[in-house]
Amino acid sequence: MNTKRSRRLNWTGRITIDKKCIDVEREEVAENEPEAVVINLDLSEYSFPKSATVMIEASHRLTSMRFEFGTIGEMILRRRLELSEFQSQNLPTFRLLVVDVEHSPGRLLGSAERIKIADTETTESNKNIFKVDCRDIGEEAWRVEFHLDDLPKLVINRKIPNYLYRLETDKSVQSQILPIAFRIVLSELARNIRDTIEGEEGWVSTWLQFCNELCGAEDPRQIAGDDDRLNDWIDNCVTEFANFHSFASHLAKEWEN
Amino acid sequence: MKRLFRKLNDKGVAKFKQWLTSDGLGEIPIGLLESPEDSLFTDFIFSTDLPEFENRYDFGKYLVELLDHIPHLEIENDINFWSSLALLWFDRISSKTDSGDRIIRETARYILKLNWHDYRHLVRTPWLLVRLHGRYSKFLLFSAKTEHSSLSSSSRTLGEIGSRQTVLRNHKVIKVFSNLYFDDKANQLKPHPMRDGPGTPSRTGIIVRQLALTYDLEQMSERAIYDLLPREFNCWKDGDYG
Repeated sequence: MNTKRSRRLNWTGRITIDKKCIDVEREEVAENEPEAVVINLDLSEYSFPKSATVMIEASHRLTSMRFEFGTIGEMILRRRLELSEFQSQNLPTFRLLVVDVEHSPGRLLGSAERIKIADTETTESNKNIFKVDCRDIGEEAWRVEFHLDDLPKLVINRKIPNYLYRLETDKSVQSQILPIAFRIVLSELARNIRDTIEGEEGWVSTWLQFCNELCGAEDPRQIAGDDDRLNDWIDNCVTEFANFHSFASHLAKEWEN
Repeated sequence: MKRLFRKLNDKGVAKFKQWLTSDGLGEIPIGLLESPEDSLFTDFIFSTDLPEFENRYDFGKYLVELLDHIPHLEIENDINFWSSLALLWFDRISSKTDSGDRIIRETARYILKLNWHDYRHLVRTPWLLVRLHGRYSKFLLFSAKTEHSSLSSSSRTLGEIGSRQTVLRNHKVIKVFSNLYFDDKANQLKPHPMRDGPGTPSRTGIIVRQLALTYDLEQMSERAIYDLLPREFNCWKDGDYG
């Protein structure tokens, strides 16, 4: 009986490798030493040709590094990678590639995309759409920051006692921040939608998927350049987001009390 | 003359930004780079005098040599560093109207913003592209004959490709597109009548992304990548690759 994992095929014929097959652990390094990770691979559930090469690509913005892991037949299962081209505040995401060398050299037989270092994964649900950071931002109470390779960051001012805790637990605080933050991100997304290619920008994909699940709205990439329709799309998404969380009702209730 | 470089601190960057958003009224706030309240000494020593350049590629080449002694990781994403250089050389990287009035464009050109717009920074981008791709970055940094060429403006090609990280970080892909769009012998961009449409730089990001779903472009030869390009790029191909 064939016990191999059922293949998920896309139109290119490339197999989408389950991210569970690769484990990326950050290693403690001394100060002034380059960042390092240890990679553990297990592709035993897949039936790639033994001659296919296995590679890991680490990338962040315009920097990338490649590491060879042998062939499927003689694969390196565990390897320490020195990330000499990356800084600790700009750690890369990883891509696992299995590449044909025999029949169609260079063709991707399988890949796992956008793998993060284990301890940098978001700790809550996979549907996190913001990263939260708490630091001193002067006299601003909160702000949204954007970084290409990461989720938008909701920065909370550390100077305000318990503000982060209240944001996480208090619906009335959430109702005053989250819809606006949500709108800010969607506006940024819409403003740059022409520059976005499906699958290329991690957080954009996450957000588009979130919005699609939230309200089934049209894909803004299809209406890029039509500002009126993009604004409608933003309004629609924010409305659905607010409805879903009943922000105004929670705030009203809080104030009544 | 070489000197210890002073870099704006966060407060200094905020003041520079404020000046930019108020349409650059009054003198360029160059004093921020001398004020202990707004800037601080770095360990970097280099000459801050800027010679004349014919194009942004020459500017980038100069910057790569000038900053060669600094580990690139220390400065690549340093918003304050690049914003300081933009302030220092503001007179050179900003444009003026015919009557001599200064034109202030979007802030991202002067204050590095690490998002989609980072390629718009007028000082960092020439440095980054020449550092990454050497002479093959010419097609991104030269302006077409029909465009105004100066340190104060980005070329149309860079505008089309600048946000495509999949393209920009792949040296082989850059070499292939350099071969397509740049005439090495004439040392200028190849002329093309169309701004958008098949085969133009605006298509490169989509095409490379599609190819990267099927092929490991890093591992392939430039020739193989060149041959994979769809027919829409044939109008740029002249004879054998290379």
